[in-house]
Order: sequence, then structure tokens, then C-alpha cells
Amino acid sequence: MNATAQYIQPATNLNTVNPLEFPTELRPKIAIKVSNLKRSKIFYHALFNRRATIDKDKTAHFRPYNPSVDLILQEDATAQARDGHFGIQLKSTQDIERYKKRITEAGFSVITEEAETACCYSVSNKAWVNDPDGNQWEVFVVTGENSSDVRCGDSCACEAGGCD
Amino acid sequence: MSIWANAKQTKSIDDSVVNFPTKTRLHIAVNVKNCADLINFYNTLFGCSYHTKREGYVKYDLSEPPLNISLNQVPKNAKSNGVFGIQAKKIKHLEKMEKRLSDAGLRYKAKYIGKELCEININDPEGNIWQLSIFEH
Repeated sequence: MNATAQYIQPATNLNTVNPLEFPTELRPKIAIKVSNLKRSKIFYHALFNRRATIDKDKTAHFRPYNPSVDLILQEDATAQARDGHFGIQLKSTQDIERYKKRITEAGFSVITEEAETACCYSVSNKAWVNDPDGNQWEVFVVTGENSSDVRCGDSCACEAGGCD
Repeated sequence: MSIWANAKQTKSIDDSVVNFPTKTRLHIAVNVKNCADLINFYNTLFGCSYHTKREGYVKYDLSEPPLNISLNQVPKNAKSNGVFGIQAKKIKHLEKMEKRLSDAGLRYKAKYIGKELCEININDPEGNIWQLSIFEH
């Protein structure tokens, strides 16, 4: 991982949009601890294609529209990757490529790619990436819902860290 | 032949079998010890029933907030990952959530500014923290 990777310039300047706006009445929030805020900001900027909306000494808020979320990063020495994971659900498999490109250009790697893989009782196309603390994110498109009897397949990364 | 025939196709072809109103949607997978024990809590929190329930797996498909959240049963060492929350633009939506929690007899802590409800803190039965709040810049 290249910790000195620069921020990538977003394609459009979404930061000029009023940060009070989000498209729905309700928006999900996630707050996680990170060990190195600077590195995490590079990762999440690449993931969301958007800079932090609030950027303080020990805290940063990312408020992208895609997906709509208030992601709060708090720098804390006790940060550790827990189990469970996060994700961004897309509608087109082609769009997964854009995420992969941004992540790799920012100096991070795509951990696993899954094509038409049975997991969570569905069939999906996925790319898995880890933030600098090991929090897992999947960028995915569901191509077959409830079409599988597999909860977590052999090639499925969704429970990594969670089993035994 | 159209002058656009050789133009680069920029529109992506949607191959998702799941449709939802927003362009993209956040996904949270919470590893939990026991899905069945959590269904009442999450049905109440989200104000709707789950979308999918299978062995060791429960999923909610929400449009408000736009969220695909699943409970994945991992009995031995399920640990919550961070703090989760829902931000509302309007007090009436926060009050609606509070009414659901209160009607279901769930214990929560409410914070007020003056007489106006501004935040609700509640833990799911396994201790995962949820913060429901009015969105402030």
C-alpha cells in the first residue's frame, strides 16, 4: 500500500453541493474508529470519489450521495477491524470497474473479485476491498436474488474473520 | 449511418435484479450471535418486516434510509463493527421512530433540545449501538 498516494480529483466537484442536502428523508450513518486518519481519508476518498465534508484533526465525515451515508471516521489508537462488513450496492456490473480503478489508483488493492458467486442466498458480482484498518467493503451487483441455497460459499469473503 | 454510431457508450447497462429508488445503496452486514432474537428489534427500528429470512440470515431492503442491511449469524465471535445510525431531516420522522420503539416497549435514551427531540440512543439485544438523530451540519 502506498501511504503517500495523493487524493484523486473527483470527476465533478461534488463538494460545491450543499452538504445539508441528501436525496432522501433519512440517511444511514456509520461511525468507525481508524488508526491513521490520513490514510483512511485517502481510502474513503477513492471509494466514494468524494473528499471529506468535515475534515478535522481527529475526525472526518464523508457524506457522499453514492451511496447516501454519513461515514464518520474517528482516529483512535484502539481501532481494530471487527467482523461484519460494509458495502455499496450498484445496479450495473460495469460500474464495479470504476470503483476498482479508483481504489487501485489510490494505492490500495482489490482483495478478491467474485463473478456470479453464490453468497447470502443470492448470486452477485463483487469486488472486495479493505480499508487501511481491515474493514471490509464489497462493491456489488445482485444478479440473482434468493436464487441460491448457499449462505456463505467457499469463495465468499463475507464471513472472513467471523468464523472460528 | 448516425454520426453517433461510433460514439462511446457511456450509459451503463443495469444487470441488477434488485431495484431500488436511489442510484446506489449502502450495505451493512452485522455479524450477530442469533438472528431470530434480533428480528423484533430491527422490525421495530426500521418500521417494516424483513425482506429475506433464511437459515442464519435476515435481510432488510430499505428505501428510507436507502440501506441494504443484513444480520449474518456467526455465533462464536460476533462483534459489532462501529456505531450505526439513522439521520432524519425532519423531527416528525425521528418522533415516528421513537413512537415505534416506545410502543414496542424497547428501552432507549432520548435527548432533547428544549422540548424538541434531537437524538435517540438504543442498543440492539446484542449490544450493537444505534443513534437516531436530527441531521445537523
